[in-house]
Order: sequence, then C-alpha cells, then structure tokens
Amino acid sequence: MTEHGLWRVSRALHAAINDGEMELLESVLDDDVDWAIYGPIDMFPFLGARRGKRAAIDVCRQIAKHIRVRRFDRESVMLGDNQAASLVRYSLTSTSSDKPISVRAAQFVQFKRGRLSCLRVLLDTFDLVEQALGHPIHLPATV
Amino acid sequence: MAACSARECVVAFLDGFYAGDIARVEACCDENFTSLTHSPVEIFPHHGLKTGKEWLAEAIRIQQERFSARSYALHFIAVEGQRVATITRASLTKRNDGRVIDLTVADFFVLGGGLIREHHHFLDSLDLLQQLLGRDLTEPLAASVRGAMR
Repeated sequence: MTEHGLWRVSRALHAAINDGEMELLESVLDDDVDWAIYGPIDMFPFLGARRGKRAAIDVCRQIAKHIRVRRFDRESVMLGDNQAASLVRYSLTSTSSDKPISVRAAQFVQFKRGRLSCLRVLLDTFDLVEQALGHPIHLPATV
Repeated sequence: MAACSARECVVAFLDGFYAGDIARVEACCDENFTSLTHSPVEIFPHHGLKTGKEWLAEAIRIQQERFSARSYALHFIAVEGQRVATITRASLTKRNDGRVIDLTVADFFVLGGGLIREHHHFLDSLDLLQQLLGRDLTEPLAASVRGAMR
C-alpha cells in the first residue's frame, strides 16, 4: 500500500523547518507548486502566496529562521485521492526568544504526479499576534 | 434528506446556509449536530461550541440581521468516506455601511448516516475583525510583532 503524500510532505516540512534540511522538501514539491499561507504579511513576512519550488523552499528557510516545531496534534485529517486536509494544533518555539507559541492551522494540500502542487494554510492570526506580542490586542468589547 | 454522498450533503449544506434556506440546512444535519467555530468568543460571542440543529436557524438569522447579501465560492474540497473538508471564499455585505467582507474559511465536517454530525469552522479572526471594524489593526502592531519574532 502506497503511503499518502500528506505524510511525506509533513515529514519534509518538519525536516526543513526544524533541521534546515531542504532536500526532502525539494523531492516532494512540484516545480510549479502553488503555495499560500493566509495571514498578515506585514507582521509575518513568511506568510502569503508563493509560486514555484524555489519560492516555496525560500519561504521555508525564512520560517526556519523564526520558529521550531516542538509538537503537533492532528485534530482532524482526511486523505482523499490526490488531496488531503487536516486541522492541526502546533506547539512552536520562537527561535529568538524561546517563547512558546501555540497555533491551530487548517491545511489543505493537492498532489500532481505524486508531488505537492497546491498548499493552502489558514491560521488564526489573532491568537498568533497576541502570543507574539505577549499581551492581548486591545479591542472593542464585542463585534 | 434523501440519501446522497458526503460531498453532495456538504455542498447542499453550504448552498442552503448562504441562501438562508433553514429547512435545507437542517435537512443536511443529524439531530445531535454540533458546531464549533474556532475564534475568540469574548469578541465573537456567537462563535464557539453550539449544539443541536436549532442553532442553524439562529446562525442564519444572526448573519441575515448583519449582512444584506451573503454568498460563497467553493475553492477546495477533500473527501474521505464520511469526512469532508472545504475551503470557501465567503462574501458578506454589511447592512450598516454596505461594505463587503471577503473571508477565506475552512470547514471540517464529520457525517454519520448520510447527515452532518460535527462541523468545525475555522477562519482568521483577526482578518474578520479588521474587516468588520473597517480598520487596519496590523499596522500599529506590525513593528512590535516583528520585533518579538526577531
């Protein structure tokens, strides 16, 4: 039974971010990968859209400079034909401050000829910003 | 609801929700339906965990009160058996000032017996908040966040 592409991509991303090891990532990415992690790019320059293998690897290098993945728990996962989705709770550490950061991400991936051709990640950046700042965002009581 | 695939059921749910068709939405869901929207409930009190099908009518009513037009586009759907995940682009027109809010939303569904039992709704609540307020909250915070991450 062939392993689903999601697991290979997950291992490759983990190795890229935690160990700076890009070879595995290079082997799982489609040359023309369509990559987007939604969020405010003025705060987190490694968020946003990228196109192509080189750009995706470059952005993983940027992510690796800022964070380490301590652990992750998949709260939900579905493995379709040539695609997958998961809701993941990440425990991260900021490389600069050693501060723990916890963030939930919805990840969607699509594969073409066994390689990652499309990645979409949604983050709740409200939570992320408050943790990065170390204090709550001051807002109106309710919306 | 007549027997249909998990994919068809979820698409019918989304179609019905944005059309404001309560009967159609309820017909897609199990009696023990639960819905969890992952966002800060101190800011969005109608988010969080809701149980029971009656919540669906309430959720539609809340949105219809606030938005004069609601639509969505399905950008991604993944299906594995009785589990479905979607990315949609929701477009909501505010009643009070006519501004349009565009949101990328992830939904995760678990079905049983052909009906939706669990719904997890996931969005960027900072993005939603900025659009609702009509204010850029990121600019004043950006320098502090970049400093904290450096």
